[in-house]
Amino acid sequence: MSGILSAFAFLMKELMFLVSYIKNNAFPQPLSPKEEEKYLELMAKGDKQARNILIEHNLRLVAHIVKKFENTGEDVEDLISIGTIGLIKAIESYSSSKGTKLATYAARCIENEILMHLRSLKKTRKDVSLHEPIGQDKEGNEISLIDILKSEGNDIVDEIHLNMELEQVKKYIDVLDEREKEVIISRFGLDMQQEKTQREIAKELGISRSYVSRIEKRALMKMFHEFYRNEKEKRR
Amino acid sequence: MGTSITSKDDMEKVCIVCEQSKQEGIHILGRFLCLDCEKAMVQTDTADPKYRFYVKQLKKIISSEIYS
Repeated sequence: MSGILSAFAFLMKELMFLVSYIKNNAFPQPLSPKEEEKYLELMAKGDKQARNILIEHNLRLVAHIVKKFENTGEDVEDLISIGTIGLIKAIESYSSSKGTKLATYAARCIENEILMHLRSLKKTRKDVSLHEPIGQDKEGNEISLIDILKSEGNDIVDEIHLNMELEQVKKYIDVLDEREKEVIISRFGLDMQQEKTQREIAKELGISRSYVSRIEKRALMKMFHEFYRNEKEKRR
Repeated sequence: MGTSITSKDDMEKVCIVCEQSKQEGIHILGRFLCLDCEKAMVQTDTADPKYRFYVKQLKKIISSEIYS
């Protein structure tokens, strides 16, 4: 019961905070269409003051959009800051020739910025640290995830690392043709079997060892290029 | 309207993000944000740890306004 009450109190506090921004005129009133046009023209001519005014007088829009995300459990002040970054981007890239009103365009940019932030939070929340405390033992010592994970023989960190690398490799194996796949899987034991020598694979496939070596090199190169291309795209 | 919240040339120009004295930048609700930080901020990916730092620093604008 007290849990519900404290959650309710927290929600109320956040809501009151947001209302106080708007009601107490913490943020300036929106500009009239005429004023907006005037400042947009001035900004286009390089007037920095005009840019400031356009940002400040659209901060209420940020507060209004943040209201939509109240139930995400994120700190309202954080969301307003993130929305402000979206607003700065909007003012920077807005062009009246696009036929969209500044408020419409800015609202979209602010919302996008918040959504992108929420998405990136989701991604990192999925990651669990091996050293994360998960409880205490009888003597009151902290137990972390790594203490209770068991691995046969190998060091657990090495094994997790190896599994993560295998996952990566499996992502790129589809760029290979059937024969290349066969060589790579057998050579590195990706099917959880013992790794094979080039000679053993050559014998199985009925080809020469040097041919297996060439296939292996070509396949690794293909996978490396695919990996490199993907990483480059991610960073864009 | 446009009560010149921004015309604060006499104001100390210490950026709220990098906390350094800078010449160029914008004033948001009386707080100064330098051009370098503004540029860096809008180019930073939301997943980048630096983004959290920018958000934290930007909160000063809002806090100063609501508690003043």
